Amino acid sequence: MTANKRSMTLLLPALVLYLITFTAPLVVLLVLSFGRFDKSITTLGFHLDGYIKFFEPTYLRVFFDTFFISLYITFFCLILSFPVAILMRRVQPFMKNIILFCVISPLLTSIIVRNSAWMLVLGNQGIINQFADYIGLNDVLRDMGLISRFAGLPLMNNVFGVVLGTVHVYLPFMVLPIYASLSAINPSIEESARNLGASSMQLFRNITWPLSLPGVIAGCTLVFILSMGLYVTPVIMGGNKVVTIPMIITGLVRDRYNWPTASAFSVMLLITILFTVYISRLLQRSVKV
Amino acid sequence: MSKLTFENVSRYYGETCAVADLNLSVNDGEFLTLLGPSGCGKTTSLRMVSGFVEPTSGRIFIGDTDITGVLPEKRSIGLVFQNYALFPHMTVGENVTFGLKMAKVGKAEQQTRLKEALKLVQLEGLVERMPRELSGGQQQRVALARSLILRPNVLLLDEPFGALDKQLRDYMRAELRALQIELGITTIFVTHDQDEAMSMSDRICIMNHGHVNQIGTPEEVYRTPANKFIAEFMGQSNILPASVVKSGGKTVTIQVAGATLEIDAPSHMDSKQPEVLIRPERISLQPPKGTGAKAKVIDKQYFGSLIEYTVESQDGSTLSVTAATNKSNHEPSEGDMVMLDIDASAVFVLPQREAENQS
Repeated sequence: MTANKRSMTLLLPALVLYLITFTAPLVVLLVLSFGRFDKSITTLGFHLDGYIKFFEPTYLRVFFDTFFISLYITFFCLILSFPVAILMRRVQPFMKNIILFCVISPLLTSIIVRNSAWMLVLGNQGIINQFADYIGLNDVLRDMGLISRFAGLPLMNNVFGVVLGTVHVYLPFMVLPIYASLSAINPSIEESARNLGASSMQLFRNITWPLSLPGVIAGCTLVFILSMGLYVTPVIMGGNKVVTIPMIITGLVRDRYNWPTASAFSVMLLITILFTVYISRLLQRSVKV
Repeated sequence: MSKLTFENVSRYYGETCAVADLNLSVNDGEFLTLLGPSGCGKTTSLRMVSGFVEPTSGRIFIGDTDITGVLPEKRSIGLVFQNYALFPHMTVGENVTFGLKMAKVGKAEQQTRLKEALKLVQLEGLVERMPRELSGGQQQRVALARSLILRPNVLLLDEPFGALDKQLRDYMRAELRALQIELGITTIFVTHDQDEAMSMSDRICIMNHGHVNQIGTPEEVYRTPANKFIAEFMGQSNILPASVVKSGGKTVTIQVAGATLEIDAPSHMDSKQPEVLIRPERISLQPPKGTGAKAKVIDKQYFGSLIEYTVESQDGSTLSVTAATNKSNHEPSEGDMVMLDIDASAVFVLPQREAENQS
């Protein structure tokens, strides 16, 4: 046995864990997804009931809602991250680390705590609405009939709240890959472009942006995939107004014990994610960097 | 018209002085090399011309136009980086026409000028290649073509041969110089390699610690260095203590390494114990006959076309001597006694005061 092969045994503990906690449940999931749920009894077999249910308009709509919410989240993460990544590349290492810490900080906070904090900020009695009440903005809006008489600015219990709460925590997954891509650009390449007459805008459009695309694609893929699995944030920030596929899946399992349908939905989600990864690979390859 | 002038240009980084009071004119069509060890201010000077660094004080002119404070993209100065800095996501053609595209030059003209530029650097037929598919030498030419296509007033080259292997470097050196003469473009070349500087330049400007030490033709700086630093930096040197035996009139008699030589009186002899520079190739080793200065060969290295000897003279000083390997030359072996034959016309008395300033 070569030293290299022997080193592979170091993988063993992780491999065993992986088999038990990931591969095995996945197999179970696949088997269950083809089962049938009738009168609270699950029978295995090869039935497409769950998959057919997925394409019912109600559920299909939830799927597309989830899909578009994920797109919004990805889009806003991208818009917010790019300037941060550019800034991180320009400042001194000390400042860079401070920015990095701020970007990662949401990940260091419990998701419940983070969402509760957002409720204190965005809710009807939250800081923003209290301020809007104080300066009279809400009264104006109420008079114009834009918001209802007892409500404040609709900052949560809607898609906006969910997107905001999620963008907040997924930002690092976008900032870091973009920053990595940007750091890989040799500064002399950008200086060259300036030297050849490129204005700041031309420089960004022709050099910086195309060269950062690998990071942009990686970040978007990551954030999109994570967003497709959103559960806690829409539950707290969506206030029953926003429903995502993971919420449906949870409901099916927890309230109705309908494992086959839940499994089929999970498999569909998995397929969407695999498809996203495939598209992402195609895009990465088409980028000439 | 495209004469480049530095007028009292200084650049400080906080308290640190990168370039101190630089006054320098590069004539139209001249190839001038900024030479010096790393940290001497040569790259900072170049970056001030390209506009990526602004002088702390002083002004830079192209012709009569003051370009100090002008944005880098508005200067029309060609710049070739050490790592070429090609755009990795663009083809050779896109790289070369980049500047024209930025200037919104018409497609048809872009293509004509692209053809011209690629012909100039002998890269026809590689238009569709990506930079990563090119060799180092080819990448260098793309970088050159990309700058030249814009017909810049001044061309700046920042150690452009640093990343090439030796053979290619020698070849590109000759080719670049030929191209520069053909185009008659004012060029500043930055390097720390004195061979490169000597073989290519019209004039060399030697910098150290942010100061210009000497500006002159390659021959001037090699033969009559302004100080000890330059003497040592430009090629191999023997810097030896000498003593004046007799002075007066047009000649001086000095004693150096056991030899007594009558040399032309230098204008700057201000010491009875000057240091003199004798290049290794201006000493020849003869069989130990007669009354000349004797020395012992303590090392001999064979380099094919020449041999490098290290000899110890009777007064204890160590000298290096290089001799061409040809039949007529006496070729002593290690340990042999020899007689030093020093070419008196090649003895250069180092200016004393400036030498002290440098140390």
